Amino acid sequence: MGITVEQVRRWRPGTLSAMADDATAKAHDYETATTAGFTPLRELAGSWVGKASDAAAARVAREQKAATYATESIMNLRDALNSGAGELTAAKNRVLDVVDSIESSGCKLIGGTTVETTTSFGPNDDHPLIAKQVVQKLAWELTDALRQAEQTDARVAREIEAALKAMRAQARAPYSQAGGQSTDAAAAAYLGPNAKPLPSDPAAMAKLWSRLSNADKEALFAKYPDLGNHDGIPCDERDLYNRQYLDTLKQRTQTEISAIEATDPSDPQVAALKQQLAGYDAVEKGMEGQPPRYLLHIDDGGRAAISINNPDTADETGTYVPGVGSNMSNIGGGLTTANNIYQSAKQHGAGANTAVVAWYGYNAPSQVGTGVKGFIQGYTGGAIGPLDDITKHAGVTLDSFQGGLAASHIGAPGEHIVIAHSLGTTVTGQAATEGSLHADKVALLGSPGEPVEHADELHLIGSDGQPIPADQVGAHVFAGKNPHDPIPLAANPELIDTIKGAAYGSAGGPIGGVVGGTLGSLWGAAHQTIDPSTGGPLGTDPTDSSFGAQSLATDSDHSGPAITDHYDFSMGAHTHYFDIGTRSLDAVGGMFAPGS
Amino acid sequence: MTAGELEIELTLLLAAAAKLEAQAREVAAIELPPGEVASGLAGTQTAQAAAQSHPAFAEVMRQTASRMRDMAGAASDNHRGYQEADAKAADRFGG
Repeated sequence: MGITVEQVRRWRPGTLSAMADDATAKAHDYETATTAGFTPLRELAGSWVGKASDAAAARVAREQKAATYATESIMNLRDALNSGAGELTAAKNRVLDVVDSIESSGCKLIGGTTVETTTSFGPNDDHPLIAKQVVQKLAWELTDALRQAEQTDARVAREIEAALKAMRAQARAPYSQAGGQSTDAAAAAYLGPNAKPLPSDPAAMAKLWSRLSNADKEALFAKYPDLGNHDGIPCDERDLYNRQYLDTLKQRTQTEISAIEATDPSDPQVAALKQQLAGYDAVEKGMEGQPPRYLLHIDDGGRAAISINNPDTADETGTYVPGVGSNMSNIGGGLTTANNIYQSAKQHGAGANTAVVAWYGYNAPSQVGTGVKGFIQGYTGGAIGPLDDITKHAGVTLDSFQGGLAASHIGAPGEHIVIAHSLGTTVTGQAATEGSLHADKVALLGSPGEPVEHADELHLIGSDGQPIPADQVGAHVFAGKNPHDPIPLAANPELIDTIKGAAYGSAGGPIGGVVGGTLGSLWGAAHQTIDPSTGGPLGTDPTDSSFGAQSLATDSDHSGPAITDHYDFSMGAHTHYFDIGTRSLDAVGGMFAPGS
Repeated sequence: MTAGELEIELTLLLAAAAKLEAQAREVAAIELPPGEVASGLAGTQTAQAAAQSHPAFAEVMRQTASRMRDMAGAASDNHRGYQEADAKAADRFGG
């Protein structure tokens, strides 16, 4: 169905002009602020002599030119908005002129698109034919005016989109490592019909990226819309590409929903797609706020990663790895945790440029099972979800992500700290077992078990790029648990047997359900994923002294009602490690303290 | 350029770094308000496109601010380096 008269009548193209005026004012503010920032450095030329001075002068010149180009791109947007306002006003006036003609010709408009005569004619009257011709003419004029209005709308939208695209490209252009030089040869192997895949090794990706011109990057982005997910690309550029990719994913999903709803609104796919759309909305909302957020990963499989501050320029970067139930749609909770860690780190003297990532980059099981059913399903692996994703991919993916942060870091190497919770601790353990995890320190809280018996079996790479010697790894791994947290029991086979009894005994009740479902699910995962010879159903309790990790302080309160009448555990004790005011959050923040 | 030609007015360098940092904050705070296009042109493709102006503008500001902060950091590091070298030399001279 096309556009109607009533819709056009409501158009207020002046709102575009108002936005154009705002853009003009803001461009002026931008120009003033950048000039004021660059001027003192430029004026140092007389009293600052040396290689750094030469480099600074050249950089200032480049940045001033870039600021000028950026201002011009904003002005181009202003022009597109103003031009659009004029075109839409003309289109609207044409439609309304036709409507006036209809009304002054003794006709009326029906439903915003149809013209009818209001004159009554007798059976022998000569006028009906003439009246019919008038109606047809007016109807044609109306249809044409509406069609033109629709076309104008589409054209104005395209012009604005083109201006915005140029503006975004301009934002990226100045910090290209390759400057204005074209190095198409570097990218040629990755483009075209027989292109080879982009490097999977973050260091190789970073090396390739440093050789590319802006044109190369644009070509690669056109070929790989998910380019920003490639570990090793600078974080600010990942963010720019991923924000655009997020827009694309949202639009694609919305289009799919509309298409399906048009034919069969009850199609179950609609609900699934709407859930996916809600996930994208959650990510978009997570990008708001200060310190600035960087979208380091987004895909259509429910995974995302958002950083508070830029890891590439941070002295210290924390990566929060969540557990069961984490997915794109609740990344807001992960960002709250990340922000709590960030604030705690600052209280311990970490710099304001400290970055903390909410890494939702793996398909965590959607929920723990409930009740005896959950226990049984969990035991068999049925309730835990796609175990392959957890066991085979999550650790590898985390390993690669951390490698990317190390590869793209600017200046002196930054310190990397992985803070894992619940099942995230197992994922982290796997990342450091199957591969070599770029992490100077690792925190494991509320762990259901580690896939190794001793911390020295974990492979960590320090900020100097060298593996941390096995006999020193224990000093870099920190583990803690609330004594009332039931989840670490999953690492204890004897207690599991006891709890099984409690769960069975409480069939149908919420208490046994939570315990049975949770432990059953986790235990089920363990049986699918972890070699039983490593110690327990889910692996080794990292807080056990035999594991060789450092102790991480935690609270010891219940943090909620007990979950059984028989055992002194509460799920709250498992879910409050990163709450403000807790000893555990303070201890994690202390890991960021300079010199710690 | 030789080492003998190295000259620097440290106070000015630090002031330049501080000014860059301050202006970076100014830039980061500049926003293009979404205005009333969404309601004024409801249901149009134009409104959808114009809605992207706000985030795109924010990207430009954020990128510029990020680069300004980077430059401020370089100037600040340079200043600190000179101070440390000076203190080290003074120490060796027995000062």
